[in-house]
Amino acid sequence: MAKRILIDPVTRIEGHAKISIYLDDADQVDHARFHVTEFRGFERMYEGRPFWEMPAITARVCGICPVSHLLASSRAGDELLAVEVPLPAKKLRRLNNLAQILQSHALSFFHLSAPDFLLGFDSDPVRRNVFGLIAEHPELARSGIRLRQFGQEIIERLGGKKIHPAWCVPGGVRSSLDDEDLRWIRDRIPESRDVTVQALELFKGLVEKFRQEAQSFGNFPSLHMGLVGVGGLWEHGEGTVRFVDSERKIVADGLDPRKFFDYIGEAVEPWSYLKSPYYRPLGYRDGMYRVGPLARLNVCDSMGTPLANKELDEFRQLGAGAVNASFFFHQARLIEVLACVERIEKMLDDPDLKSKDLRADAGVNRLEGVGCSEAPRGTLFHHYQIDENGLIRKANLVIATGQNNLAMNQTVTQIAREYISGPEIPEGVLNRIEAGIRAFDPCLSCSTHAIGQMPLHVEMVRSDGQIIDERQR
Amino acid sequence: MIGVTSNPAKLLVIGYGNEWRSDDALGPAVARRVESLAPPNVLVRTAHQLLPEFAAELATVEYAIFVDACYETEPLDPGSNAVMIARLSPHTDGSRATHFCHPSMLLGLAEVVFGHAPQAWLVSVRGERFEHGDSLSPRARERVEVVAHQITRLLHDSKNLSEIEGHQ
Repeated sequence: MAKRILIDPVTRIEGHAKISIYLDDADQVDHARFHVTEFRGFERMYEGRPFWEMPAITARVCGICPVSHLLASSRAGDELLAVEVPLPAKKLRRLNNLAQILQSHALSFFHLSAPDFLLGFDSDPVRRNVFGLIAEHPELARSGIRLRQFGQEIIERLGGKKIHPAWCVPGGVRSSLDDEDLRWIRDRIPESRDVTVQALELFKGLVEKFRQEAQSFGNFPSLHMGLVGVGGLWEHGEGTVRFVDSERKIVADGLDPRKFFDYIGEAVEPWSYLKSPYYRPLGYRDGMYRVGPLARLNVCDSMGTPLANKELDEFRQLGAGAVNASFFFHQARLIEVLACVERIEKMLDDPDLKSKDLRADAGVNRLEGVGCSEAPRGTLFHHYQIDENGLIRKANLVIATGQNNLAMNQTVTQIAREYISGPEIPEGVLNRIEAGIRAFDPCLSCSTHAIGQMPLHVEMVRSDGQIIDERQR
Repeated sequence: MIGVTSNPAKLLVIGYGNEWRSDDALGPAVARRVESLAPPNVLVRTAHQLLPEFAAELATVEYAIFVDACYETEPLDPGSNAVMIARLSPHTDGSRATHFCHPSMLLGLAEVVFGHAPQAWLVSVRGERFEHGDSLSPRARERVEVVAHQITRLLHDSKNLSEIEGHQ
């Protein structure tokens, strides 16, 4: 008779999820599911609101990636106004997003995932966390916090607040930087670059030790999607959408992100509150694609900066074509941090960062608009329909994490099949399953717009409903 | 000391919560009210949720007060307590670490990473509703005023802080 193992909640990710692993009568893994248990219900808050409030509203969906929502929402507003945003404002928005990607990836790697790599998947869970990391690798832990602070400080200098800065608005931004801001940022570039290079060398040195995990953590063929710039340059703000397959062959290119609904469908499954976007031409399930750092490196042709390009060349050796092993999200994340540091440094001499030409004003000129931004976790779309007074009639947010939903489910199944055989479930195996999800750095609060933590526990349940094992996390 | 800048403030008040979840906004609302009432040597911060980098600022102050909404299912008896104050200790159990940090874990980070954790308290203010919404309930609004004034009175003389704990 079939059995079910639950991991509930999944630790060290943002939001609430549980993992159910279904065993067959021979105690072999039949299939697994990644359930998102948070209820998505924010949409009704948008109806009737003026679209110019949407950046501030949507930024409060989540405390982790507010800048991403601010940017995507403001860009949707730009479309509704039908304005050309002044070039200085575009550059400042780009700086903001680079800082956002940098700080988010720093938290993901150093705070949430590094304990697994550096302390071992089988180490005591009481120590396999940031405090264990601080005890064993104090300088690495401190460096990671400083790297995150660097990104957060840039965001605060631009927007006045670390979280939910109401600085980015439809038509442009509210303020620029001054000489002192630019000096502060420039002074911290060398350390930020060095920390990232060291973290990359550390991770690459550990890959051989985790060969089995690298092969089994979400290593399967799929499409990859992301924005690219002119000439296939790594892009995070303005660009076109590109899909590549698992061999890195281009499936679709030059797609307008404002027409995402033409090529991205959304399916709903009864066992999760997270929707499942897919590439329409291939249909649901076959159209599974991944977004985020791994996908962005797979779709681009160049990072555009020297050190990051060198790392990209090395990264490409990890796969025949595209890099399909989700374990390497972590390495991709660090390469993106390096690209962010290099790009920020390149921007600092641009006088436009101090410009006062920051905003284009207009009234409502279109009744439908889409904004797109590459959030740390992947491509984010905000789609608004408004009335003649600018009030929201309908809003749809396609969140990065949701676009990885199908891939996360497949990852859990793969890991469970690799490591579970029989009724005994060692702690390290459960953490590997969770770590597979953590590789995606999902933001479930964002995807489902939910509130804080709920008390939950782990159960192993027979198909007849009898609980045969139970764990508290 | 890493990331620590010279800061003359001795006191830090951090109010946190989701301001689009009705009374979950109690924490930030109380903090903002405290900011309008408090003496100049008090730093006030509001946040959607507590993040690890708050540890750097905590390490620079002597006293910290966290303010958050709490959720109870039992009806509140007349005259009984809607505010609870608990003394916090630094914790270094990060086994459930996510992007969100508990105040005790932040204190632990401040202590182990930056070498100092302030004396700290958590002020939990009971909320009445937590569904999607951008305004406080009438009772929550009343409690904001009461709690903010209570905290401000304590902040005017930091010696009082060592004595506070329990239901208010």
